[in-house]
Order: sequence, then C-alpha cells, then structure tokens
Amino acid sequence: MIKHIKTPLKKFSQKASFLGASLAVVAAALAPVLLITPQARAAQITNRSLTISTAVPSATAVTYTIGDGTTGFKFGTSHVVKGMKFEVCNTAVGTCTHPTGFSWAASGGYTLTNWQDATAFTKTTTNTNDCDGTNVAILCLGRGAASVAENTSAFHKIVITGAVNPDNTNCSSNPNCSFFVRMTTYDNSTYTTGGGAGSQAVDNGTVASSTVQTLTVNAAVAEVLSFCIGATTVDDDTTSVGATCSAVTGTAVDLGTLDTSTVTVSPVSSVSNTGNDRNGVAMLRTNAANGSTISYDAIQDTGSNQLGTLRIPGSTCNALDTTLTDPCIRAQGSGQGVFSAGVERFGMTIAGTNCANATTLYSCSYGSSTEHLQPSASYIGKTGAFCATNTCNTTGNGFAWVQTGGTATQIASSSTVVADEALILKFAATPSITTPFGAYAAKADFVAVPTY
Amino acid sequence: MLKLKKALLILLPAMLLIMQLSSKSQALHLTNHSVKLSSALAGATASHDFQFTYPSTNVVGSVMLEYCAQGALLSMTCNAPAGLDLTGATLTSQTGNTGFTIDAVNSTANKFILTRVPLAGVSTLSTYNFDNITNPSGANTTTYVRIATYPTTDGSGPDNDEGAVAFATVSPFEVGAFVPPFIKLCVGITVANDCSSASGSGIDLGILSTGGPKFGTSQFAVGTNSITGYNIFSLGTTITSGNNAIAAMSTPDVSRRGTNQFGMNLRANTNPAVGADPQGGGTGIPQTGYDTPNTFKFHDGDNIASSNLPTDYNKMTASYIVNINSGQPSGFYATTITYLAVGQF
Repeated sequence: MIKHIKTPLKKFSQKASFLGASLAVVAAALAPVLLITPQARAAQITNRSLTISTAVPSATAVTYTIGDGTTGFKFGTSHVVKGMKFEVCNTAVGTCTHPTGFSWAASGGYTLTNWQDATAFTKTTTNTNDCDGTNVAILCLGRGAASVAENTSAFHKIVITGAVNPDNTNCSSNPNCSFFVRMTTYDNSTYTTGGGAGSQAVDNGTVASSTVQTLTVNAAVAEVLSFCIGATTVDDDTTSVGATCSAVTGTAVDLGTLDTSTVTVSPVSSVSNTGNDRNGVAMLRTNAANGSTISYDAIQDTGSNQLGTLRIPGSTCNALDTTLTDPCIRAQGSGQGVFSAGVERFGMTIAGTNCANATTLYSCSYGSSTEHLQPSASYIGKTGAFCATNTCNTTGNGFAWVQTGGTATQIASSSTVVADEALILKFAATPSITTPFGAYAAKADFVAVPTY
Repeated sequence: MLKLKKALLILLPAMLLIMQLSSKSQALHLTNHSVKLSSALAGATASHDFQFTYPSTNVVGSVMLEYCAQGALLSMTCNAPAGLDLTGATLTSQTGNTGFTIDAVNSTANKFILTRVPLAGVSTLSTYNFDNITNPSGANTTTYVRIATYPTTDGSGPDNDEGAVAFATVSPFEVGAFVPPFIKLCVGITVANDCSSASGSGIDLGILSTGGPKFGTSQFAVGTNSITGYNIFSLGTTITSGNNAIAAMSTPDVSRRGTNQFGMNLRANTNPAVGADPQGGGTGIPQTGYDTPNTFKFHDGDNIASSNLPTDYNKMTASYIVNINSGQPSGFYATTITYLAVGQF
C-alpha cells in the first residue's frame, strides 16, 4: 500500500497499459474480427466474417457460415474458383498451430449462396499440394468442373456444417478462446500454387472467432412448507379461511352441550347452544412435487382406557368402548359411519377442501374434484360435494375417529404441490342417555409430511 | 512477462470463482426426501423418520442433517430452531445406505452428523429413523432440515449431494363438549322406547260395572346418567266424581269383582289381561306393590319404579283397574296422575 502511494503515476501507467492489453484480449475474444493476412502475391478477400452456430468449446455438429448472409464476402480477384482451403489456426498470421480439438472431419454441406458458378464443392481428404486434406484442421474443397469466374462485386457465402469447435486447451482451459480460419482460393482443384494461371492460389483472407464459456444462470427454489391447524367459522369451500397460515388462529372446536336427541356437528352455535361457532381447519402450502399427506394422531389423555376419544380428562373408562356408562364417548373408529342420535359416538370428517386461496394459481374446486389436497377414504364427508352444517351426517358419509395413539391416521393427501388449500374439519358427537355428565375433551396431533 | 503475471493475478480469482461455481453445480439433489414426525406438537418428544434417495454413487462417509429455523438452502445462515434438542436422540434404524452412527463430536443440538467408513453410495431410497428428539417449541412454525452427504467422515468439505425437508410444529387441537345431567322421562298413552315420541294423554275406562274390572293403560319411558339412578313417583288422587270416590288400593291386592278398587301396576297381568312387563335395556324396575302381576296398588306419592344406576331407557306400561260395588253413586269419575322422575347428580 505504501508503494502505491509513493509511485502512483507509475502504477497507474502500468495498470492502464495492462488494462488496455486486457481490453484488447477481451475484445478479440468476444467479437468476430476482420483480420488481414499480409500475403503480397495474393489479393484479399474482403467483407469476411464467420458466424458459428455455437461457441461452446468442443461443441459438435457446429455450422460455420463464412459471409454473413446479408453482405457476404467479396473476392479480391475475379477468377474461376476451383479450390478453396480453410485452415483453422490459433493465430491469424504466422505459423499455423491448429487449435486442439477442432475438426472438419465430419464437415459437409458446403452450401453456396450468390456464387456465379454454383458447381458444388467436394471435400478432398488427401494431402494434395498446398492442401493437406488428411489434417482435421484443414478443409480442402475442390470443384474441377467450375467454369464461371466469380466476380469481385458480388457478396458470396458458403455454409459448412458438421465442424467440431476447439476445446479450450490452448487458452489454459479458459473457455474464452480465440481461433482463426485462414481462407485461400485456387484457380485449380489440385491446390497448386506458384504457377501461372490455372496453377495458382489467387485470394486469401482470415476470419476470427472465439469459443466462449457457457453462461449459466442458476437459481434455487427452496423446499417450502407451511402447515397449520386452527378453528374457523367458514363452513364452505369457497370462502377464504385466511390467506396464509398466519391468519389461521384458534386451537379448539367446542361442540357445546350434547343431547341424546341429536347428533351435534360443528360448527355449534354460541347463541342457541354453548359452542364456539367453529369448524376445525388444516391448511397446507408446499411445493413438494412428490406429494404430501396430512394425518392425525389422537393424543392420549391421562386416566385409563379409551384415552384418545372424547372423554372427561383424567377419568377411568372401561376397556370396552361399548360401555355406555363410562365418561368416554365411544370413538367411531377407522370405519366411517353416520351417527344416530343418542347412540354414543364421537368422530371427525372433512366437509371438503377449501380452495379459496388456490384458485389464482391453478384450477381448484372441491365440487369438481380438481383440488390438489383430497380427503382420504373414511374422511370424505360427502361424496362430490361440500357438506355444510350437519349434512355430513344427514346426507353424507358420516364420521370416523381412531382413538388409539401411536400411529397416525391419514386423512388427506396430495400428489403434487398445494397452495394454501384448507381442509374444513367437522367434529360430531352424540351421547347416550347414560353418558356421565361433565366436560369432555379430545385432543389431536396433526402432522403434515411433504415429500420433495 | 510482468504483464502476463499480472493478468494471471487478475484472471485467477475469476477462474477460481468459475471453478467453484462449476464444482457447486455438480452437487446433485436428493430425491424423494421427506421427514415424518411421530408427533408434530411443539416441544414434544418425538421420533423423526427421514427418507431420501441418493442421486449418485459418490463415496459417502457422512451425512449431515441440520435443523434450521429459516431457509432450506445450505448457502443460507442456519439459526437453530428454539427449543429443538437433538442431543438425546438415538439413531434407531437405517436402511439403504447404512452403517452410520451419530458422530457425537461433530453433532450439535440442531445438527446430526452421521458418520461411517467412507463407502461408495448406492443410489437407492434410504431411511434414517431417530428417537427422542425434542421438537422446536414454536407452534405453527416451519423447521427446515438441510441434508447433505459428504465423502469425509465428519461432514466437512464439499458435499456430494444435498437437499432439504421441512416439517411444521403445531399446537394440540382440542375438541370440547359438555354432557349435561340427563334424566329423561316421557309419558303418554304410548311412548317410544327412547322417548323419541309420545302420544295420548287420556284413558276412557268406559262404564264401570260390578260385574268385573274396567282397565286401561298408559306408558312412560325413563333413563338417566345420574350415577345413583332415578326414582319414579306417581302423584294424584284416586278416581272421583265430585264428592264420590272409589277407594284406592292402599295395599297391594288382586282385582275383586264388586269391591270398590282403584289401583295400578307395571307388569303384564292375566287377571285382568292388561299391561306389559318393562321393556328396554335399562336397569329400571317396578317397585314393591307395583311389581307383581295381577296385584295392584295406588297410593299418592309412591315410588313405583327406580334404578340405582345410570341406566338406558326402560319403557314401562302402567295398567289401571277400577272395580265398584253396587252402591257406588253414579257419576263421571276421573283422576289425573302425574309421574315424577327424580335423580341425584
């Protein structure tokens, strides 16, 4: 740092010099460049350009277009072109070192545009005079039948297919690596030079190109999961329960006062009964493309027997759930069923999948079965339709509840991503005449498992 | 030469960056990856069962499972989820690419390093199940578990393959309900066994005669969740017409032709043929004086039926008989009987 302060001008000068050199290298790397090969006895091909179909190092089946198709190149001398040589080199001038990896071996096409003599060129694969067709970096094209002279005013183009780009060995593995194609025309098809008319090279010129590194744009979409359980007053499949999980609140559904004369189904009025007007809700958002499941596991209460059903907390119940005089309301079990008033049962079902949040992202309608998050068998409140109020019981499939703990019971699944779809959970209970009075509770642990 | 060196000094970092980017992009992504919790309750002690498919056969000496409060990407800062504790966890089972143990040295409260002797991985679904993990304490929060495999045995150096899974911790969801004290009694000429229906409120015994009893029936059903059961009382007077009364059967007796009698019981009788025995699955039974076929009684306020347990419904049929003697004054005789159920809660 001190040195820089002491000799700022010198350092700047050195840096500027180097910067200029760097810019020159970069410019050469990035753009096709017109370069003129100074051969005194030959005329220059002008308006030269080279377009390659891909600049990826070592790319195969690459198309090389000499002449840009709009203006093309012009011959410096009007002559019958019976032979052409395209030699690929690391430098524009001087001794030609062939770039590693380049090959004309599989080349073909040689399509001509705007030539005065349209006779097709064919590849010479032998080492003939000035053109070594055995070298993969040298392309020798001949057409002995040509008879019409190419003029110096027309724009010419030739398209060569099947080339293999150089690798980046010659540039110390830097993929931004320049290379040059030296072109020579002959008035004979045997690539003879040094003679008179009919035995000489006529025009030449060099075009440049470069392989470049592949620009890759990377982005990562992380695994996403948002899952919540709560309570909602929503009792349909189209009214949003909240845009996201942050808007879902509550941890309880209150079924109010049960009576033997009816099957109580959430939501239970807080006015006419002593409920809390709420259904349960389980909302899921995930980009797990391999699907997701939602399961519940009845939390085991203290006390004894039937620990996961609707029960007076801490109480002792009979081992047989058919006993109707203990303070445990009989769980429906894994098999779904419609409840009858006064026949002691407790259960849960899914009234439907609320799609309100998902419809902006994909087609989602519970009635049309286009929801991604679909209730599982035994938890479909009503086939083909949302069951509001108590219709999951009166006209639906009823309820189920597995009260044994330890093994989660799946209630819904998706085979693909889910955008804040919400299961509307309905709970139902009815006591028998002998069900002991008191405050009953059941608790569940809901688990979402996305597979990414 | 000097310029070449300087050029290298400038280009080298860029080349290294390119190489680094290139190296990073070679990490393959795990597939079919998930974590399943035995309990999603915040703060609960749970098992966490991981599964994922190794996408490559690179040598694997360790697997990292890092729990983070935010972000699934390895490149992001990882903050340990509050409350999470892996220190007491055990690796209970593993399948697929196996042979791992928990690296106690390099594992932390929010990170497992599973280690083994480096072996070529198998591109197959593998599972790793852990017990005794304390879940994060936040409810309705998402925790990400970043997964990476390494050729080293301690989770150091560039990873082979990577991915992430996520789980959400929730509050326990509760369903509450209140069962009130029940004592359900219904009365009518006919009632349903469970009191779901009842009809009729009057009995016409026709014209009384000295030649034999006139009789009729009514029904009641009763059930309760009182732990001491219930008692049913019949309240009322004997059958009267103004000041003229037909004597009630104050003690149990059979039907006697030509004798003033008004009585009832709750059994199926043959003399006269009237009534029915109690029905239903409950434990209620007729009480003494009203429980013997062909024997009748009526006394205001008598306990005529009871149960000493919570009981399902019983439907009982009350049979009424009236006999008169020849001196009984004519008139329109009637009475009203009320049934009262009493339970103790």
